[in-house]
Amino acid sequence: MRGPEFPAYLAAAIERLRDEVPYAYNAVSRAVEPDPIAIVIDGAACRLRSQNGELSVTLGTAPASTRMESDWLTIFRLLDAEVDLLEVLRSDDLRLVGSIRSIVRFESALRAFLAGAIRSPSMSSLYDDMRQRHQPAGDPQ
Amino acid sequence: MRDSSSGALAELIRRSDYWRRSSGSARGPIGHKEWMHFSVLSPDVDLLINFSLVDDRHRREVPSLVFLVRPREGPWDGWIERPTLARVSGGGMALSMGESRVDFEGGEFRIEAKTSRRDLTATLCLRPVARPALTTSVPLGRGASMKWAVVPRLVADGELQVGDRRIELRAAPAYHDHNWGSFEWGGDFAWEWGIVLGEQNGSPCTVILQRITDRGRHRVVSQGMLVWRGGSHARTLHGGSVEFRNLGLRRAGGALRLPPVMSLVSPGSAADLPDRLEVRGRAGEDSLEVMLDIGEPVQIGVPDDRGLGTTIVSETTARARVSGSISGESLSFEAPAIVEFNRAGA
Repeated sequence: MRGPEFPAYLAAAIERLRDEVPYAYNAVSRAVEPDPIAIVIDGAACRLRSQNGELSVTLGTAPASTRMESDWLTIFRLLDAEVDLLEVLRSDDLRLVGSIRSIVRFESALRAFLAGAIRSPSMSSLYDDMRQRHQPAGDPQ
Repeated sequence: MRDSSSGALAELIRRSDYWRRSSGSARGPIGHKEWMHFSVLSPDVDLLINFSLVDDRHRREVPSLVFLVRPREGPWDGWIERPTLARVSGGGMALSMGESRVDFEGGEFRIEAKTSRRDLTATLCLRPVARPALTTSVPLGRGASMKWAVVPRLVADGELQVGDRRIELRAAPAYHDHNWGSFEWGGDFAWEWGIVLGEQNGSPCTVILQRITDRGRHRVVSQGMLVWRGGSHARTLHGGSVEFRNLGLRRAGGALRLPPVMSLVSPGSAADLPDRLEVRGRAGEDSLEVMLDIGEPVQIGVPDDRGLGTTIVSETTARARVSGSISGESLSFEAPAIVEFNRAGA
């Protein structure tokens, strides 16, 4: 059962972060502001940018300092700790393009986002929905 | 011990080991954390089960079940279950969350634990065979403290399912403690805690080790060694009478870290854990020495209550060599142990 694509989930997650873990939201915003991030998951593209402390998710990818491209299977394998970031980069299951500075900022934004997500009371239900709709067939949960 | 003494023991436990509950929803102090912890060390498996209720920022009690299991000669396996609902009454001992529950009935702790992932289940009866103890407050950072009730020795029967493997437990040595208080994860504290479930001359002999420091692990706040022989508390050595020494570095590769996403949030390894822990105590004519060879760790990542940092709680199997003399009686045995390290995440 396909559901909303990645950009919709990212937008919903950012909103929950803003409402429930504002200090994590602010940390993501500070990391993204100088360097917007383009994200493509299974062909669905969006851009995460920050302006005056406000994060926004828009469809499409240009312009962006960093581009991340991957798929749902890799996302779930990362979140389940079946693989780590270095492994998926080496295997080309996750591709990251940008300057060294922008990639360092991407990593900061990612860690702040995840640190906020685990503190958000409602994030787990969003994650469960995402998993239910996009878990590859035959992949054990 | 199924006589009037076991009835008295059960009554002691009911009067001391009940769920305190948070007063946050009644505008009391926030940050209440409370858990009941059970360890079983059998010839076939090491098992840790922990039921907890922790205040969130909105003064709601959030339940969690931690299920950690290590079949002998195998790796750690485990899961952290976060049911949405828990039923518990303050002043009682029964708690149910999701498909798991703990209660104290007929003089025994009864546990059913089941995880939604990893195919882990446990059905256990744990019969207390030692008198419980209730400690005074332990300081955990500025203005924060934790209280602690312990039933240091139980006998566990039941069965586990670990994936497709069924494991029976028969008269396995076990331990239980219950902690509660208002404090912050990420506060100015760290700890080392260990239990040794041994035997001396056919009688249970249990040793508990604890050391609390500041978060940088520079200054000792509290430390002690507690000994039970048979069912009775035999000796406590504490403060300046006790010395802890961490020796060597495990330099372990990746340890199982739970929940799995914590490997992304706070990447790291168990490389800072020691190879050995030596604890010595001496007071008057009494002396005790516990030498622990630290084994494989499993790590729980806990988000700090302030900021975006992490606290890592490492549970390790261990092998202990205990020697000494308490009240003129010598101690000398080897036994399985569990050692827990609570430290700031890297």
